[in-house]
Amino acid sequence: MNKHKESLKSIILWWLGTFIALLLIIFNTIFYEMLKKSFYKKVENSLAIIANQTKDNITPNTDKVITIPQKLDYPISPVMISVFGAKNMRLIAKTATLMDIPIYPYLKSNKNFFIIKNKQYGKLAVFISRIISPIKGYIVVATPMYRIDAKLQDILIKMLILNPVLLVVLLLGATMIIDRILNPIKEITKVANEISVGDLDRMIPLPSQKDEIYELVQAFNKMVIRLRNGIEMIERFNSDVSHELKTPLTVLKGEIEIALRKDRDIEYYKNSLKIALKEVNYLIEMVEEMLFFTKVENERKVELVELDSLLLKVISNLKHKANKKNINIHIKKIETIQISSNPILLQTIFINIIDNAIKYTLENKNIYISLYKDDENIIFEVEDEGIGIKKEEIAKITERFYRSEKSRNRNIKGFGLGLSIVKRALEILKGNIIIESEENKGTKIKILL
Amino acid sequence: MKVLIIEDDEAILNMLKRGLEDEDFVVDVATNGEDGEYMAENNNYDVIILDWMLPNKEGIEVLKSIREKGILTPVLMLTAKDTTDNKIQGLNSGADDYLPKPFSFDELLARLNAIYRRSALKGSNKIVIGNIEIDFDSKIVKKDGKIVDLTAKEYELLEFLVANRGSVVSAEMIQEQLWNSEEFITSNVIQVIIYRLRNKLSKDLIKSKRNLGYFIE
Repeated sequence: MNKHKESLKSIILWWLGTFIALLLIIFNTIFYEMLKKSFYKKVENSLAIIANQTKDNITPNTDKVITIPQKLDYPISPVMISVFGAKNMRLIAKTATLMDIPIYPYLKSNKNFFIIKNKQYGKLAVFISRIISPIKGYIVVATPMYRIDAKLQDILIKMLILNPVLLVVLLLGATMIIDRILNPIKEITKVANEISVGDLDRMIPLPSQKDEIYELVQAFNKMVIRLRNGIEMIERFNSDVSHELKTPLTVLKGEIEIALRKDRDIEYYKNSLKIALKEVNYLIEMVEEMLFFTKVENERKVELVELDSLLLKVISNLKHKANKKNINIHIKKIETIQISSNPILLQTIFINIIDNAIKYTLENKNIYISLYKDDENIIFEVEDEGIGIKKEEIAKITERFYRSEKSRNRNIKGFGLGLSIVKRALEILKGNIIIESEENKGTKIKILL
Repeated sequence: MKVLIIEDDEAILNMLKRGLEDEDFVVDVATNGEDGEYMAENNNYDVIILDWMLPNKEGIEVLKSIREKGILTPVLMLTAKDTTDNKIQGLNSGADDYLPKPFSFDELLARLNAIYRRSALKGSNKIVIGNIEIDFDSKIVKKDGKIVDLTAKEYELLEFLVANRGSVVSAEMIQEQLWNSEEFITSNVIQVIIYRLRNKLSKDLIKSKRNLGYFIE
């Protein structure tokens, strides 16, 4: 077992091997013990049969000496039979010498089967049985155990050889199964290592079997796609930001260079500086608006908000902008509504929508605002008499930095970030935006909360 | 030199127009692709400055379609897109040069002059006709080695005649070249400039062809 490499395979094999080995040891020990017991029981039974048969066939001699009949078809052999007198435990008759064995201590025992170790015979199985007639005494039947022990030893050796082989075979099998399971994982690792931010087009090939690995690969591929989309979004945002930054920077650089090319009068310098200041302010506003995105992302706090008073506050703050263009803001309907939400996000939505309406509404025209509740939603509605949005552009106007052709042509100030901030805020608040617009007539924006 | 600027951003357009006019360029402007294409087709320009991102029709599309119509006016593309791919795409579509934003105005001038030299002046930046020497880079004209003081319009007209050396240039062509589309002049003005040029340089440098125009041999 390679313990240096902490691979899943070696860990599984290590534990599996240990577990199987332990199981084998336990089961084989039990099996061996049971086998041994049953062998011994067999010997005991055989000896008992021989003892009984012998007992029945003992014939007393004249001088009280008995003969033991010799039979050749004992179930086991060799068998040594002896008879001892009851009185003084004197050996009365025997078929083979058992004298060397200190048999006497066993004679009076309650048990009648013993395994005795003896120098001459090795292990001996001894069976003792009482005789009542023709004489009183004990008959002792014994047999050496070497055959049975040899048999047991043989079995033990076979077990000791076979068990490790079995263990190795099992582990080899397990290795193959583990490899089959782990190979797709190795493939995933390989591809995952190769996938980088610059190379997100790679996918892990799906395995043919629809198992857990298949699901893992699928989940992984989906993650890669999500990452790719995210990175594309960031890249697009970066390119949009740099593009938006480059325009004012171009004007700044050009303006300053032109002014410095020759000596000019004071009016020229003043004008150049004014233009430069305008562009710098534009840059500052743009950076602030972009930072606002980050701010929106961090707004999650929820508190009780009085929507109507928040809206009125926003309207009064924006009134001066409307007054500049002589635009009338009409409040069509406003209900008293309290909701648990984030006031900063709500305020952001109100400001951006109304500010857009003022930006794109022509002078001396009207903006209509309503805030009400229906069965399902809280609805905030702003209707302007502005330049409107082309049908094909409606879907795009909530994208970052998107500005409709008209708004660009008319040189209305803005970066195309307002509506995308609203969209993001609504995503966080789980709200919805509906935009209806007719070119040159106006736009109606409905926010559902 | 007469240039057409096709650029949708008002601030950049104003800056460029003012800056180039200050350098005695004649400037026409268009704020979207379609207008720009129309103007490029119907007027003669020495160089067109073309922005990539334009409303109505993208700059690259304008470029492709004017080239398809056989208009060979040199085009300098101006854009915030500055990847190598964009540059290649721009140049392959028929642009003569490519300048990423934000650019240096001095560099823009140098590139415009280089393009003009390549196309109209056939690559030279100095020309000698008789005892008259014209340096196109410094816009200095010398007669017998002495600097002649010319006004911007006088120099422009001289350069225009040199650029079209050997062929007759009509009063209409001169008007188109020296003034932008919004300026109106009387034919008298051109006659006055020709008269002054002849006085300052030499009587027989600029020749007249009755009812047709002027030319330098």
